[in-house]
Amino acid sequence: MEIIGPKLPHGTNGIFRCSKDLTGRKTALFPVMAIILLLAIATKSTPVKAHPLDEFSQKTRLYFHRDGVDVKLELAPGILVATLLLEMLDPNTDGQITADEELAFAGALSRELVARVDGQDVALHIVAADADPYEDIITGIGTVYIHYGVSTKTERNAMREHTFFYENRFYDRLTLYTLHLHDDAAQGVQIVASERDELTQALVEVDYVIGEPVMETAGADEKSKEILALSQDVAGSTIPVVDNLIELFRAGLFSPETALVLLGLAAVAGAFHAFTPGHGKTLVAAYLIANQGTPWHAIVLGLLVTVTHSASIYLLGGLVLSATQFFLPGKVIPIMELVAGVLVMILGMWMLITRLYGGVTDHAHILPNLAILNQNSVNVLVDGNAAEAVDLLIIAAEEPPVLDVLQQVGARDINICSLGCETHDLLPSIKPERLNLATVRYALKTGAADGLVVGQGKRQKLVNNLARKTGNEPAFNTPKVLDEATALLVEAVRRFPQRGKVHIPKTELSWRSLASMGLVGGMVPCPDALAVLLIALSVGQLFLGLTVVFFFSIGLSLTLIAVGILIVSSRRVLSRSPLLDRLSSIAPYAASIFITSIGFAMVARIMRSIL
Amino acid sequence: MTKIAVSGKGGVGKTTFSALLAYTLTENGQQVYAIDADPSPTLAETLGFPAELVEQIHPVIEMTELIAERTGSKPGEYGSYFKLNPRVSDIPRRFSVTHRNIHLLEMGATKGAAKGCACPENAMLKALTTHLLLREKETVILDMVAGTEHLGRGTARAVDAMVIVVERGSRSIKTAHSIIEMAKELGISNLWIVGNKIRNEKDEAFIADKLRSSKIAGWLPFSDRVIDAERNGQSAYDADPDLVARGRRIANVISVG
Repeated sequence: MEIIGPKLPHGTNGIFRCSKDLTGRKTALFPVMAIILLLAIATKSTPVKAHPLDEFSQKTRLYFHRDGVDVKLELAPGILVATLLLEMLDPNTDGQITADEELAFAGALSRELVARVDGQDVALHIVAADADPYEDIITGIGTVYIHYGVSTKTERNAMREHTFFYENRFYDRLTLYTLHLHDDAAQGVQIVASERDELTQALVEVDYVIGEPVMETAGADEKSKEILALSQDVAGSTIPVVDNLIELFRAGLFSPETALVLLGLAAVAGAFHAFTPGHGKTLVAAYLIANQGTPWHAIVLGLLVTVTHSASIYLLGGLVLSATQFFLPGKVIPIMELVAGVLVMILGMWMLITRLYGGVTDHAHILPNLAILNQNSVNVLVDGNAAEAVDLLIIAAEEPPVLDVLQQVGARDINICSLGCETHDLLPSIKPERLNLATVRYALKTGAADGLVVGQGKRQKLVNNLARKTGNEPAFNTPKVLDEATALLVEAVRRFPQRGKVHIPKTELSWRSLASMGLVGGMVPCPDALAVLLIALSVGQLFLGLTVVFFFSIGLSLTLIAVGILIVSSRRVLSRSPLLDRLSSIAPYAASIFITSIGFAMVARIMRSIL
Repeated sequence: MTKIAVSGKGGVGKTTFSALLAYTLTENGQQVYAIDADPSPTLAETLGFPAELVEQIHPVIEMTELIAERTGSKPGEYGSYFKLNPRVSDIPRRFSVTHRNIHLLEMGATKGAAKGCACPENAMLKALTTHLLLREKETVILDMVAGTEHLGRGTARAVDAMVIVVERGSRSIKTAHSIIEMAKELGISNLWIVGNKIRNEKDEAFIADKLRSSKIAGWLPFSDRVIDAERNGQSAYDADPDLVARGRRIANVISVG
């Protein structure tokens, strides 16, 4: 008899990592599956079981016979937990698993198993222990096979009933258990009842009877084989055919056409894969909201995340293969995740602080427009509250005295620029007047502001002080009549040749800031992509592995870019409605806080799993 | 050449008067720029422009790309830096439609106060108005809203005459008073009142009494022909010779004719 059932997986959602939740599991494995399935179609199919990347698969088969119970355990670690297993399997970290180490491990493991016969604890003695090569286990495709024996032999009569209890506690929080029961009808051993933990499959209690051996009949044999085959089918259905991929890599079976299809599929897989939780999608979106990026920013950020992500996979893959003992994926990835979490936290808090205290303007899109300030023109800045002076200035800019002095200093023309308006005052801030001065400050900092017109009042005083502080004092007045405007412009033109160093930034959402986000967003490698690379590397198909990962990353970035552009353009749509515009002006603050909390969640998750 | 601003409460006949004045000024061979600065523009129809010409008219404020290019701003974003003196000298010729020596240009509705005044669209209109009033060589008639919002301290100086159209009702008089006040503040000295839709001497006396301290440029009669012309898509200038004669007189009085 054979009864199997899957255990409900547990785990948490990663921010950058693949989904680990019940529904997400399938999608998280999609790219690997998709690539492998394609290969499986292209080649002969030999189904082999595989398992999720961050869990152990522990399959126990219990064989009941007249003298006892055979416990056959197949223990296969996912790529991220392989480390944990190797610490026990290869304590001297020499990259070799010797027979002694296998036996020692089997002994250690037996202490995590409970076996009871008729209510009495019984010992599990090791019959055999065998592990796949170190390289297979580290890349998440190896298995450890252990065969234990339990004796039920007594001197009493042959007709007996037994109750057998079995429980596996080895990494029970990280394991996907399966349990298979086999009786031996030919020898008169029959299971009459069994009760198991249906949810976890980690423990089972079996009642079985030992009767007279029956004559071997063809029918019974057939039936038992049939059940066995069925059980294997179901057990092997988690994900298929890693071995296919390996065989294919080994054989070098790729024609240029299949390689192209493979790469295209890898890109598509990457694009879909990015929709699973994690992969920095949320972060990219929040960052673009917080900084009010442009579509161009969205594209660059998406590409940066992808490049970092590919690089981090290459790097980690290289490290794992060159010095396996020191760089176990299961150890390195959580550390990278922790570092990334801390960095995200810092980034989010920094964004919030600079925003609240006025170091950064709320309208990042203002600064791309700093490009309006012209190196060769006399730039005159007009604050929103001095709008009534504008027409005077426009007229004055073409008055003869101004044109004369323009020619003298060799400036091209007068460039009158708006500094913006009250829209900025809608934004919440701890020090509003300082925040609103951000627009003026950025302009002054360019060193290319020759004239400044600000309405009367407190603001004028503040701007005046600011100008003095930046050491960049433009001609300053609020003209009421044309003569005043003309005089101001003449003074501004005279200042033009005395400019200090001029630096007009092209964009405010600085590339440095964007790059730091891109780095943090992509630094934690996706285990799925890593697994593909490691498999390719382990069979010597380095170039193909690198290319597949690269295309996978391209697909990923396309999704990130699409999300980014969607966010950026929705902001523009929102700005058409005054209410939504106002809401969206608060969004940067919310998004900064959100980014901080993402970082916090990442750190908290890692800390929890460590503790 | 002459720059004339026409203002007054909505419905008093600003646009009718502007159209009449425009045709009157073309009589001695002038080219006239008729600028419709009303948020709901009707000057083209009032001038009796053919339908296919009317269709070609696009308000300047809706030329998003042009505005973005000239002011260095980005479409749809507020509060950013932008140029306040964009190049506009080519706009009157490029975007006006011409009929019988009248070049019509529509400004379009300025952006609301909710967004603040300093948006690129408004800056563009301001620069354009400044150009039209100060640099344009031809005659310009600016058909404005009830107020002086298109004018600033600098541009007001360039206005040769401002005509405030009123009718025989207290509300239009009240509006006229506030326009007069704003105009004086801006420094417009040549201010004139034109009484429209006048039925009898009593209407004239009422207006003259209420606007005692202002100069009256003349009276335009209440005319069924004007109403019929409006219905037929014809200009009042072509429909009512009496009105035209009075319009000429007014042009002379405000010494722009």
